[in-house]
Amino acid sequence: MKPLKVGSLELATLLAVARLGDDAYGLAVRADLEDRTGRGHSVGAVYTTLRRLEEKGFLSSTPSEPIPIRGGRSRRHFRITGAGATALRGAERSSVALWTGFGAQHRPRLV
Amino acid sequence: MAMRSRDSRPLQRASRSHRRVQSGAERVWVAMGAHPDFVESVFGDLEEEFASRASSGRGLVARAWYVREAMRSAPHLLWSGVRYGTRQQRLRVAALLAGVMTLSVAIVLAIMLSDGPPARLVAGSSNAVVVNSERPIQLPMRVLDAAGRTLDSSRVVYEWVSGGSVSVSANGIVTCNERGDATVRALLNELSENVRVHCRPVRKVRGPWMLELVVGDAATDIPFEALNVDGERETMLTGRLSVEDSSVATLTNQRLLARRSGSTSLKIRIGDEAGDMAVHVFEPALSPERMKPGQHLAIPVRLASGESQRWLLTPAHELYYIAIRPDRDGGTPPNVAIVGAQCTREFDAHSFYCVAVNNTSVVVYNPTATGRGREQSGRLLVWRQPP
Repeated sequence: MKPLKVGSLELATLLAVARLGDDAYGLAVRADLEDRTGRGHSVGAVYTTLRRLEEKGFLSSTPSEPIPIRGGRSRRHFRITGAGATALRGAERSSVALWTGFGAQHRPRLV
Repeated sequence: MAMRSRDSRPLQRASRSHRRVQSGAERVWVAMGAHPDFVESVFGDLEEEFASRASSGRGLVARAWYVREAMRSAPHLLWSGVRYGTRQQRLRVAALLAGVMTLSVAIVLAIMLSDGPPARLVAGSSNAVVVNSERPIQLPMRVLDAAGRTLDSSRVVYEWVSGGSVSVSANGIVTCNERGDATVRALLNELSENVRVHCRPVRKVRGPWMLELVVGDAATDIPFEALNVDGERETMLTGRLSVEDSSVATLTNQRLLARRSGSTSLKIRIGDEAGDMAVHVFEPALSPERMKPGQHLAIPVRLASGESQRWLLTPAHELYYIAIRPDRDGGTPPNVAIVGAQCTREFDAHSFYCVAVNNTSVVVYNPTATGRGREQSGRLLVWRQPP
C-alpha cells in the first residue's frame, strides 16, 4: 500500500472540495470544514492548505469574474484533479484497511 | 489561470501586472512578497463574509470578526511572503518580524519597569526615626509603589502633630533641640503616615583607641559609647559603622569578627559625631621569637603558681607592641616583664611599646608563691611594627 500523500487537514479539504463541486472556493470550503469538524480554521489557513494541495497537483483552480460583494475581487474556484481523486481513493482504502476487523467487541468499555 | 508551482511564477507575475490591488492592507502584503492571488483570495473571502454578517444588522460584530480573522490569517500571509517573495521582500518580512518582536519586548519591559502610583510612605524602621544630630536633617522618608519600587519623595509634605523638642518644616527638615519625642505627619496625595521622631542628639562618641582581636575568636562587641548634650550615655542610636579593610576584620550584626592578622581601623559615625579605632588582629602562635616586621602574634600562656616563661625578641629598629590579656575564659592573666629593652607603658599596666636590642626578652610569670596560688592563663600579644 502506498503511503498517504496528504495530511489530515489536507484530506478534509480535498473531501470538502469534492463535495462542494462547482461551489468549492475558500469561504465555502471553510464553512464545510467547520460544519463537519467543528473547528473554525482561519481564512489564511484554508487558502494555505488549498494552495499546498494545488502545488501537489491534487487541485486546480480558476478565478471567477470580479464579484461586487467581494469588493470587486474574483473568487478562486477549486476542482479535484485526477491525482487528487487518486489520493482520495488511496486515503479511503487506507482508512478502510485500518478499520477492517474492528467490531463492537473491540470498542473500549467502561469497567 | 491556476496557482501552480513556483516554476510558474514568472508567468503569473506577468499576467498579474494589470491586476488592481484593492486595499492598503493588500498592497502592504503584496509588497511584503505574499502571493497576489493568495492575498486577493483571503481578502475577498474576508470581505464577502463581512458583507454577509453586516447585512444581518450586526455591523460592529461583523467588523470585530473581520479584524480577528485578518489577524488570524496574518501568519499565513507572512508565510506566503517568505515562500514567494523576492529576496528584498523577504528582508522586509524579516524587518517587520524584528520590529514587531522588538516592539513587543519594549512594551512588556515598559509595563514591567514602569513605576506605579504612590502606595506607601515608609520612614526608618516601623515609621520611627531616631535623630542623633543637632543640625537640621531631612527626614528619611521613602515613597513606594504597590510593587515596592522607590519613587520620588520630594513632593511629600510634613506637619507637626504632637510632642516637643523638635521643629519640622513642610519639606521634612527636622531640627532636634533637646532630648525628647514627637510625632510628625507625612502627606502625599491621599497617603498619610504618622512618623515617630525620637530626638537623641549626641555630642560625643568615645571608645578605646585600639581594639585587639584574635583570629578564631567569636565576634566581639564594639566597646564605644555616645554621650548626649547632658554628658549622659545615650542608648537610642542610629549611625554607621565601617571597617576600612574588611579582609582583616568584618562587621556582623554590629559586632566585629577577626578574619586575618593585620591592622585596620573602625569608623563610627553617629549624628554629627565620628570616631576612629585602630583594630589589630593577632594570629595564634607558640612563640614570638624570630617574628617578622608587621606580624601580629597571640601566644597562649598557662602558668602554675611560681612558674615563668621567657622568649627572646629579635633586635629591631621597629617598635614592638607587647600586651598580656586574659584568654577566652576571662581568668587572671600572668604578669609580663620586658627585660633588656627600653619600653613605655601604653594604655594600661599590661601593655607596652618597646625597642628590642640584643638579648631583649619577654618574661611572663605567675607571681604567687609556689604551691599557694592558682594557675594563671592568658594570651601574650606581640606586634612587631612594620619598618
